[in-house]
Amino acid sequence: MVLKSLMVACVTHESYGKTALCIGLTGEFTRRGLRVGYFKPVGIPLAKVEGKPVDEDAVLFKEILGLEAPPWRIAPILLKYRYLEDTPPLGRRGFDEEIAGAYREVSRGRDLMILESARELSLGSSTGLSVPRLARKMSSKVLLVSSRCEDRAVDEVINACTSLSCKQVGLLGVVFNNIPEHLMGRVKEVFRETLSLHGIPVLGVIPESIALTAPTVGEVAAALDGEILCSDKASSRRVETYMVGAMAAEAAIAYFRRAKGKAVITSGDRPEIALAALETDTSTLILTDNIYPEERLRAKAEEKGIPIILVSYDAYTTVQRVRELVGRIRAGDRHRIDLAHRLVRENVDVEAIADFLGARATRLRRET
Amino acid sequence: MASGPEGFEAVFRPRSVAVIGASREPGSVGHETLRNIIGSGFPGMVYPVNPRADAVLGLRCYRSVRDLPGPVDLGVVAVPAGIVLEVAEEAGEKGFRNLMVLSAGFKEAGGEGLRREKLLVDLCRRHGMRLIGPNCLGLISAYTPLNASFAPVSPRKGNIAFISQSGALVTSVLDWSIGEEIGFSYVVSLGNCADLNETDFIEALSLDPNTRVIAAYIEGVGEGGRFIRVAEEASRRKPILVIKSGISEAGARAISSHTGSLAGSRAAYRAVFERTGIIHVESVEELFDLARLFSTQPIPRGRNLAIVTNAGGPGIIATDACSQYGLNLAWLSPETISLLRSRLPREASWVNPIDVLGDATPERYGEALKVVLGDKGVDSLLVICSPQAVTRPKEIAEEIVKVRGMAVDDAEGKPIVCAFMGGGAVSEAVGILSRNGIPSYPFPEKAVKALSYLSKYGEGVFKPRVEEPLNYRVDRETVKTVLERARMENRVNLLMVEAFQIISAYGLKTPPSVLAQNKVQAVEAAEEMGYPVALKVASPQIIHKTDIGGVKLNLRDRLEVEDAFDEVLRNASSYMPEARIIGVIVQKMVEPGREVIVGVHRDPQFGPLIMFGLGGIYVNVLREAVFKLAPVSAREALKMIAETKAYPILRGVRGEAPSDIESLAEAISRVSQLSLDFEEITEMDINPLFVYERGKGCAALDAKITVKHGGS
Repeated sequence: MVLKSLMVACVTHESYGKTALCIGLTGEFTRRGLRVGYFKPVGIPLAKVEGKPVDEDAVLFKEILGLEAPPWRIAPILLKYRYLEDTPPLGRRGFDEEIAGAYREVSRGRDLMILESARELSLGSSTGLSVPRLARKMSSKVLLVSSRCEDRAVDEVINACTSLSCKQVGLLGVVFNNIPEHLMGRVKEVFRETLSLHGIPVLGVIPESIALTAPTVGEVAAALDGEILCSDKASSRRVETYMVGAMAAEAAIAYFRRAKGKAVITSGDRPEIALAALETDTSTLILTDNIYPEERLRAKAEEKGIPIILVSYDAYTTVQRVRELVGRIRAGDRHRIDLAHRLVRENVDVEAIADFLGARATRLRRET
Repeated sequence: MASGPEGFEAVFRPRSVAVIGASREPGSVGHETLRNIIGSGFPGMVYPVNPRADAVLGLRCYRSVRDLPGPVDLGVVAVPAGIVLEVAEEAGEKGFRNLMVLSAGFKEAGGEGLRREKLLVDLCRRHGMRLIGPNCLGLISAYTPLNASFAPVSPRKGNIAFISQSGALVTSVLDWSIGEEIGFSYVVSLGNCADLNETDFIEALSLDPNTRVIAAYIEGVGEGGRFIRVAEEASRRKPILVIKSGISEAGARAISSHTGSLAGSRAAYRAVFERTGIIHVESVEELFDLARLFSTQPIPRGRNLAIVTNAGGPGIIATDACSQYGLNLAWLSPETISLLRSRLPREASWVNPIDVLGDATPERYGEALKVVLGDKGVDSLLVICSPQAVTRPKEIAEEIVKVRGMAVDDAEGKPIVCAFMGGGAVSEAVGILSRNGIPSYPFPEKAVKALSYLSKYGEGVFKPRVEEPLNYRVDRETVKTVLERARMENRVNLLMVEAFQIISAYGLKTPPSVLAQNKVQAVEAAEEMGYPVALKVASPQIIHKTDIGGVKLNLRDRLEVEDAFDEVLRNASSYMPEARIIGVIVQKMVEPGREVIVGVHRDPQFGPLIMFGLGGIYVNVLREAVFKLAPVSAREALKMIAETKAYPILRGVRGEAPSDIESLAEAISRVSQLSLDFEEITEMDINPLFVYERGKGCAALDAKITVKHGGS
């Protein structure tokens, strides 16, 4: 019997949340007494284990699920930044065999498998690694994740469904993720109605969770290639929003009071703006253009336990780079892992997914 | 522990002084300080401490603090920052009452220095020892006498107490003051104000009998609330002149860079000075122009100035200056004019300004002065002298001193200032005048300006503002509920409807407003409250709704409401796609009135600042706003309104009906009470507030409130 598997993918590259969804789903099924496995056929090498490049999600799930296989088997194919030249000498079949082999190893003894795609549907199409093709090869259905809440998100889902049907891959449904409170109603009613007319079930609407999506100060620093100049113990603090400090000193405090848990972007030669920011609820200062702050400012920030990230970019570039930054869930991040479990349990129709996977409360019996 | 003004006895008049780090090297801080102490004629015990010397400057030296015969009133520390803590510990154990640390390398140096300063403060506190500095020049107490500083110069004795947060400024001022014949009762370099700060010294100096005026250079205030309380009290006793640096935009940056602290807003400091009666000056020169006058001359009974001059031109300049600075040229009585006519040459002028001509002798000056001083319509006198061919400035100065000393009818209590214009030719004369307590300025306009301040001071322009606590009947519970909800939802920006609930609870009128999250709700709300209505986008991120097409007015039926709903949301999302749009506020249209803005900004140091200004969308263009520290009574609010350009418009121009200014003043006052009752409110903007015709009150059309939840 072919092991039942479900591939979780993002609708477009702008969406996020598939890892959290996978955490939630694997958590749910584990809770029901099933031996759930995880596999990520195509990954991105952002970390190293024992000197080998690995995908971070592979490391994460190895820990969460207690998988025996090493991370480079859990995510066997890694797409570097430039990957077009990586078409294997044997053509597509080379990748197929590698994936099949790793999959056999990772899925051994498992009742069902949750698969995670690299990103969105189309990534890897050039080298035969696109989601539709892989899902077809692995006889998987696909579960889409969309974190957009404009009406256009519905069109994206329908379009994705079409891409999947072209390869005869079934779309199990879509989960909307990180939806702001005031739009939950619209997504649950209008989006669901429209999609159902196209035969696409909405299997979950997960509300916005700053705790989950906000990056930490450390992650922001890394994304900006920045140097943390002080209070680095506070680098696990969350950054919920960004503000640029370019106004007159008199107006600064009133302006900065309007947001909490923020990163304030300004330059080192505007100490009065930085000090005003330190007076309010600020997670970190980001100083641009490589202008080192004066010692007194650094000492003040240190005293208040607020980190300073020094970056070489100008303010505009900095804003562009942080705009899309979303926090990642890493191995050991118990808090976010638990949060992901809870959000999925409370907001996703796990029963419907369990139905598909034949995983209702009872254990599957394997036919050899 | 030495605290309060009594504790300052040991600081200003110590019985014993120890200099720790009394080096034998001339030019070093410890050495120069010791030299100054000895040279100033200090009558108490002096103990140099230096492990490497047996004697310094003729005094027996002690190896360490431990070896001293007993506790000391004032310890002066001039050792490297690294060993200050050790020395302070010894001093504490020995029972020193006060420690003045001259050494640099503390908070002003950042990082390590900041930590060191904290430890020093803790240490001193533990031992009940007060701390001056660190990083200061020292202190001079002229009447003790004691010069415990390393300034190269010792000042003249006088009645001005000068405190400064810049040691370098003190050095310069001391040097300059000698040539200017300005005398001091105290000169204190405050340094980093780690413990004893500007507030403490202002309090103590205001009680000191040798001080007639306090002059201060301030970069920042350590304890805002306490400063206000102390300064209020102190300025009732004597004039306090303050130059606050960092009030310009660039200056604020400079202060933040120099001290690592916020400069404090211009508006806040102005409001603080208004409230406490502090006289704010804008230059160091002005500081001492005023100080020397305030410390020597009596306060005039009025603004009527008589000018006696031997040069026509400067007399006219002085006259212009009167207009500029708010003094009046005194109208001389017929008797006075008749007397002047009889005693002055025919070509002289006996109408104010009185021109005694270029060949005026000391005697002619004297006659004119006596007559003018005796005139009841004259409150103060300016004597101008330009050194012409036959002029004898020195004798003229002596004559002025003589007249001052005479018992001329009605002359007592009338200040005399001089403008002896020149350099070398008048320097001796200026010296004579200054030594006799009559200030002379190099140019007449400076003299007039200084006198105008003294006159205003006499009139009570700078009196501290006394406020009774406000107690309007208000609904605190509603406000608590709204704030609690925001706290639970972890929001810092309140929605307009919530802000309306809060200000209504405090007695301000608002038109019916409902938050609608979809078209159906919007129409329902509109039908319920009755057309016409306005629609305003509700989003905590969108501040200038009108600018971005987020406001639609005068909607008369359901169709218009529905169209407006779409349009407003479309405009809002295209202007700021990432803005959280909660929905749309449906508000009943009201009659337009005069638009004003009332606001609150909670200054981190000084508390809530209440703001009033011309409003509507032009407030950022006209930029005219008046600030006062809460509480603001309705009477004070009226004064605020009267200070703005809005006032004549509100009173009614060109046949227009006057507006309900009383109701506006009460609204401002109630807002100030709200800001004091609820510390969580950090910012509030009521813009626009419509003010209607007298008797019809006012209504708030929009309100924004930002809050801070406790503990965050």
